[in-house]
Amino acid sequence: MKKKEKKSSYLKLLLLCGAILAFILIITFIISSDGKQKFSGPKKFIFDAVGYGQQLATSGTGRITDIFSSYVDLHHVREENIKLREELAKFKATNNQYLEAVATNVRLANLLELKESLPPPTLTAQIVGRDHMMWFKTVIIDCGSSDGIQPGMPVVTVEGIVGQIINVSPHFAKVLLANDPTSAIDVLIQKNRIHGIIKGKGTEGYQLQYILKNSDVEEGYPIVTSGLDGVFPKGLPVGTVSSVARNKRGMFQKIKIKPAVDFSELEYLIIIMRESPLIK
Amino acid sequence: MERLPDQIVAFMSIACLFISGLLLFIMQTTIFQTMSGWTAMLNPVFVLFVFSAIRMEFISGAILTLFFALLLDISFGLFPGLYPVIYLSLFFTLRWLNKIIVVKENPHKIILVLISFIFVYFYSFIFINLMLPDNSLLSRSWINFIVQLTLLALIAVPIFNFFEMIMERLNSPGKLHSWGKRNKNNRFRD
Repeated sequence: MKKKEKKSSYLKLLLLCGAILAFILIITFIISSDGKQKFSGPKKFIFDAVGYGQQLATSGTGRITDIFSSYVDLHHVREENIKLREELAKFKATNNQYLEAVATNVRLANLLELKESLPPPTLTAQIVGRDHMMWFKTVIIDCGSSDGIQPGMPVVTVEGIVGQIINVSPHFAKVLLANDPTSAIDVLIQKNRIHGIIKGKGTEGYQLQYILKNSDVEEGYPIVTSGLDGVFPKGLPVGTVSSVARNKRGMFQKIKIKPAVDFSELEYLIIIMRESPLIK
Repeated sequence: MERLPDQIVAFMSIACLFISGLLLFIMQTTIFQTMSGWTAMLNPVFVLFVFSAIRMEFISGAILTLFFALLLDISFGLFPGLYPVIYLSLFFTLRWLNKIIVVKENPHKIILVLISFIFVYFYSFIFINLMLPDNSLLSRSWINFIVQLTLLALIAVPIFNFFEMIMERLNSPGKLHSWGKRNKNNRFRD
C-alpha cells in the first residue's frame, strides 16, 4: 500500500512538473511564433498599450520639466533672441549655397548614373521608455510601422550612431542600442581606413575587434561606419579610440572606443528610413 | 458585512495588483529613468514578483508573474521567452522556500526579495551568456549590482506593505470603507 501511495505521489509530482513545463513552452511558442524580428498580434497589442502609458508619463514629466525650465530660461531670452536672429540670417545665406551645391551634386550624380543620388528620408522620434534591467540596452520610441518604420532601420543622432530598430508595433518601436552586448557594427578607422567590428560593452562603450597588432591605432583616432553591414550608411561617426592594448598573445589588439553619443542623455532620435537588405 | 465569494476576491486582487504593477512599471521605465542616476536603478516591479509568489494563491500568483514577465519580454527583451522562464522559475522556487520558512515578518520580506534578486541576476547572467552569438562574456558592474540590491532592500518593505494592504482590504470587505484608517489588528503572524 505504502509503495503504491509513494508511486502515485511521485506520478502526481511528475505530472505537475510536466504540466508546468508544457505551460511555459506553449506560452513562449504562442507569443514568439513569428520569430525574433516580427511581433505577433498579441505582442503588438501589449507593446502598443504599454507604449501609450509610457508616452503619457514621458510627456507629463516633460511638461513639468518644461514649465520649470522655461521659467528659469525666461531671464536670458531677449539676449539669446538677438543672437539667434543674427545667426539665422547667416545660416539662411549658407543654406542657399548648400541647396545650390546639392542640386549640382544630384545633377552630376545623375550624369554619372549613380544609383543613390539623394540621402534617404529621415524621421524624428522621441524616446518614451527605457530598459531598467541591466542586461540589455534597448529603448522604446513613439513611432511605429504606421509611420513607415521597419526592423533593421538605422537610428542616429546628430552626434553619431545610436542603434537599430529591432521590433515594431503600429505606433511604437524597439531600438537596440549600439552598446548592447548583442550589437555588432562594421566600422572603419577614419585616419587609415582599417576595417573592424565594434561590439557593445554596455556602460563601458564599445570594443573594436579584429584589428591586427601591426595596424597603426592610437588614442583619439575617430571611428566611422563602413557601410558594409547593410544597416548603417557609410561615414557616420561612431566614437573615438579611448585605449589601445597589445597583449603578447593573440593576433589582435584590444581597443576600447568611447561612443560619440551619450546613451544616458538620449531624448530624440533620428531614424534613417532605409530598408535593410539583411531583413529582406 | 458578508464576505465576497472567493473567485471574485481573487479576480479583484489580480486586477488591483495588475493595475498597480502596471503603473509601477510605467513609472520605472519613464519617470525614474529621466531622474538622477540611482533612481534609474529602482525596481519596484521586482517586489511584485516576490509578492505574487509568496502572498498570493497559486493560480493568481502564476498569472500575475507570467503577465509581468511577458511585459518585460515584449518591451525590452531580446531573446523571446527568456524573462517568462526566469520569473516563473523564481515563482516556483519562492513558493517552495516560503513553505520552509516559518517567520513572515518584515526582515523576512527583505531577505526574500534580496535572495530573489541574486537568483534572477545570476540566472539571467548564465542564460544570456549561453545565448550570446560569440564567446565573449557579458560585462557586469558589481557597483550597479550592489546599488540595485541596496535600493531593493530599502523599498521592499513599503511596497510589500502596500500590496499587502490592497489584499487585506479586498479580503475583508468591511475594511473597504475605512481606507486610510489605522489598522489595530495584531499582524504578528499571517
